[in-house]
Amino acid sequence: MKTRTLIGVMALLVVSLGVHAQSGDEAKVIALENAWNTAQRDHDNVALEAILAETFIDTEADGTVMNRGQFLASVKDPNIKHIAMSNTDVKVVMFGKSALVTGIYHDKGTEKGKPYEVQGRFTDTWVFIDGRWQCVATASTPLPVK
Amino acid sequence: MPKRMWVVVFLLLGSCAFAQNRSAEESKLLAMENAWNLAQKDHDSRALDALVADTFVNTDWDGTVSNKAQFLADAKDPSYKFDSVGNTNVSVFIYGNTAVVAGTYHTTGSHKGKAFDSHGRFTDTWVLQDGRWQCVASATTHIQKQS
Repeated sequence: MKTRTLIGVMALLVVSLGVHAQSGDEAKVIALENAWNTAQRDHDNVALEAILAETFIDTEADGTVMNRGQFLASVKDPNIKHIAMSNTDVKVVMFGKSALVTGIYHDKGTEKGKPYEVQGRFTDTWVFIDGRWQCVATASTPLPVK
Repeated sequence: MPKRMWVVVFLLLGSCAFAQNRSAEESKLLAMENAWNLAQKDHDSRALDALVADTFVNTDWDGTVSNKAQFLADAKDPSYKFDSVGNTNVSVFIYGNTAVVAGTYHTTGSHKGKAFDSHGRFTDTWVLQDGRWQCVASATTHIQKQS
């Protein structure tokens, strides 16, 4: 292998190792955000309990504030059926043992049989507690549906 | 000392002890939240510059997202005149080097001469970086006027 090729391969390895090292926790937090959507869609409180910290605080798009217990109870509500829940424009900023995730959420479904579609911005704060990432706060701000 | 006076003394002592129970870090964060309000009211970008991190992300109640530079530029806008900026029902949660401060804000003033009176909820995330607390994110949601 020529010297230039070797240098190129080594540089690629260094870069990919660096990216991997940086993105390990980022990838975990993004996976948890996606797991949250799936759990909420499926009314899966067991999964959500593992994601949300005991001191979790939720500020909804309409200004309603809920603690963990209230949020979990609201997720169980059988009147709400989520057809699709997803996030776009997601950005993660890591601060050691905490992470900030921002983006836009889309939620489509029915409430008491009546269709709804909402979207908004979310700001989630995650902290690495007891060996796992837990969401300590989420805040939503409504956006008009395009 | 009359009995009533003793009761007052005990109440005062109790409230002092309660105030001391609030951790030093909580007090610092609350002081910084108040400093933020004052700086915003006075269009003091230099004070705000010291409070928000370089990676600061602000989500306003109308969905507008701004970074630190945009936020500081907005704070300078002379078409906004604040008469009062205050917080109530403030809760502080500390997780080592990270803190979440959530509460209700109330601002009154005028924009281009038109009066406004705005109520909302805020969720601020603070991180202890380089030996000082810096706000890395602020998100606000509009609410109806409190009765």
